Amino acid sequence: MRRRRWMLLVLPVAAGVVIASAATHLVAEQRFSVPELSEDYVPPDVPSPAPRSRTMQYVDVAVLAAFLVVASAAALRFRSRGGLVVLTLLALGYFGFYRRGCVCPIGAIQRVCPVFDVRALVTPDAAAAEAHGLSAERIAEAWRARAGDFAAAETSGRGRDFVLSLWVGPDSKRTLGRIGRERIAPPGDAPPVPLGELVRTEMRPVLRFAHGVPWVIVAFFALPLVATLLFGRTFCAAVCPLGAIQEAVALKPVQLPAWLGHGLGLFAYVYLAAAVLLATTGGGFLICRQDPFVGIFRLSGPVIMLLIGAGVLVLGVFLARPYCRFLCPYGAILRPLSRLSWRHATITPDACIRCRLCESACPYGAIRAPNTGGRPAPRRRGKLTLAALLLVVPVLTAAGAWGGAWLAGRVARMHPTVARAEAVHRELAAHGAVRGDSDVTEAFAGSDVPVDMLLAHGRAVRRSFAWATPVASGFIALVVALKLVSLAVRRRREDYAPDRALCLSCGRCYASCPVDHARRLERKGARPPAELHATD
Amino acid sequence: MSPHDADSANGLTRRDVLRGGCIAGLGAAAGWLLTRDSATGGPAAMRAGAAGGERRVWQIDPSACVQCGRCATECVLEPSAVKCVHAYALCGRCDFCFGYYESRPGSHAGAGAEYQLCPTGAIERRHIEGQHYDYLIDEATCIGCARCVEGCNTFGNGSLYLQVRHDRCLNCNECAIAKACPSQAFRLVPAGTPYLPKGADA
Ligand code: SF4
Ligand code: SF4
Ligand code: SF4
Ligand code: SF4
Ligand code: SF4
Repeated sequence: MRRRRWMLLVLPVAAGVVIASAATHLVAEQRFSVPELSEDYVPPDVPSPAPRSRTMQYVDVAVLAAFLVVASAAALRFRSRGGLVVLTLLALGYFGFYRRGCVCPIGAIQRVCPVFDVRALVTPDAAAAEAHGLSAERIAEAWRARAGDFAAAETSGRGRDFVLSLWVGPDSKRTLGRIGRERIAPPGDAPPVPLGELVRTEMRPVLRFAHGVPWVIVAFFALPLVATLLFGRTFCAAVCPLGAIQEAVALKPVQLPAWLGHGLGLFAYVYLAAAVLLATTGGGFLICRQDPFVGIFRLSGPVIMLLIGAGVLVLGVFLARPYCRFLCPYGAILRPLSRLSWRHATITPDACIRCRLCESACPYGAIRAPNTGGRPAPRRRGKLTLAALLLVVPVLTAAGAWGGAWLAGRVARMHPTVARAEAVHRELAAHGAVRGDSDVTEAFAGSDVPVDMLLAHGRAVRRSFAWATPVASGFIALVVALKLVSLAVRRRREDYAPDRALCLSCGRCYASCPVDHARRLERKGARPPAELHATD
Repeated sequence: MSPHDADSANGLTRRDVLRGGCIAGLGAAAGWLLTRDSATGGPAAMRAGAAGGERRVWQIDPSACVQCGRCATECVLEPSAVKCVHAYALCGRCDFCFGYYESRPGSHAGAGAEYQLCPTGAIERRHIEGQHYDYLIDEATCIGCARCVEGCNTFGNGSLYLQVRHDRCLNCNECAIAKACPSQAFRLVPAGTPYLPKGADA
């Protein structure tokens, strides 16, 4: 018994050393034979639980649509803050704790953007071919023959002289490496040459919709946008689980000065641009990774995420809905759409009597006061300012794009492939081999992706950042510039009214308005006090 | 007067036109996205077996996994939705299992619980007959750290391997482990066949 164990240990160790020096991905072969067991032995059962069913996904979309309809009705038609609160709690339960925060429209932004994929183009290397006395056709044929099924669909060549043209994914880098290691014999008695030495492999970023977007994601992304175009941000009022959890804790909200609110609100656009940049370059889903509340919905997650979530909630007691107002990238999209909305929540559907009672009712700073009281600015000066600002828009945008181009290299390091390639490259430069000093390089050394394939992939991803970063930073600068312009343009406001972009249709202000109060009484059959009717 | 009432007095406003444009644009974009979905898939490896527009879920290709341990730490769930799975068709039913016992020389002497590889004790060793044992994984306890998988792959038959378990996995927009996986072992596979079992053909 003892002895047998000892052998069992030593033999496989020896075998392991041999195997490890070969390609490690080789599926471990049967080192020990599967024993013949008695007839009545039944191997343990390994269940294969299925993912969430298709039907349940239809249910999710239907629930979303129903919530949007009811929330819009509650905010605009019934003007019921109580109804909205109940809906909010239901949404928190369904989309938050039951669906555990996934899928949500905010994260769906990242699924509907186009993606830079990398295409590898393999062409015969004329110089190398000549040196070995091989024709380009012979090389192409050898490559195609070995690409086999894997690349069959991708070898079109599109009328040019590629022998292989394939999307770079996990498998293709390995496949290219494997084929590159195989050898063919040149004419005469020269030694066989590795196929990899006879071709040039170029990797190029290509912007496309790569992974197909499931219709559920499209629905989750688009339905709240349509609802907002029709009725304002009723999605934010009572459907979004992230909004709901913040609404639930906004107990002692303070008012922020308007300039601070406007300024902080711009961060949402920075976040949107960063998230789209990373999603587009395949660098990861920032919004999902940094979602402060999913950890709470899932009752699990990295400690740091849970702490950040708790921190945002504590802040949210005093600063109502901080994530919604200053960070949410979906909110950033909803703001301009809500400006265009067909109908929108009002403080009162009747005429405002400018009693100022609602002035501080909105915890989100969304109520705009009338601006017809003061002395109007001289028309000419206003026009000059506007003209100057309009000039500033293209200048600022260009400056932003330039800044992005300058930063692109550093931003690209957020992409895992670039980071991996750089770590491997550094080690290679320092020691002439990938020794696996850091855990990234160690893991890479254990995989069978060839180093040159990784480096080429890294370079291609960097090129996609060189395109995408200036676009993202230019967008941010453009938004800032437009904000300046919009602040300079004085729109005449006669009444107290919600700012359509910022109002979340939460219904808190309804109760503060005496005209609305009177309207309710009237509807209940009581006579409103006469002096509350608008007199002018 | 709400702005809407004021606007509608003079017919179609600029706002109406912009709104119409937005809705039309959204509809067109959504429609286009959806047709793209059925027309094209991802790279060939992803497309393989996936009928047009079929929903896909995350899975680990066990032949690519290098047992780096990130599956235990990177998943948005704690413990991870990745668990060790046992391909019993491949297992040698060893007395000394390299996925069960720590295989440092000398450490096998007692072969007791204290020499177990699994940090959470998720593997149960059950006697079958003679020198043969079954090794059963308790998924509720397993954290997907791959230590047993490494042991079994390096010294044994490689019958232990990691899989995303779909009763736990949230099928995130983008799997957090997939991004961190150094060997890019994660794939999107058709939801109808959500596992990449080892030794299915054995
Ligand atoms: S602004 Fe708030 S409520 Fe609206 S989508 Fe963003 S997180 Fe949700
Ligand atoms: S309905 Fe709009 S304006 Fe009124 S309190 Fe809510 S967010 Fe503020
Ligand atoms: S992250 Fe990848 S390599 Fe590491 S254990 Fe998980 S599947 Fe295996
Ligand atoms: S060693 Fe790790 S992967 Fe294996 S059963 Fe234990 S927890 Fe799971
Ligand atoms: S998709 Fe999400 S839940 Fe599933 S394994 Fe990946 S990170 Fe974990």
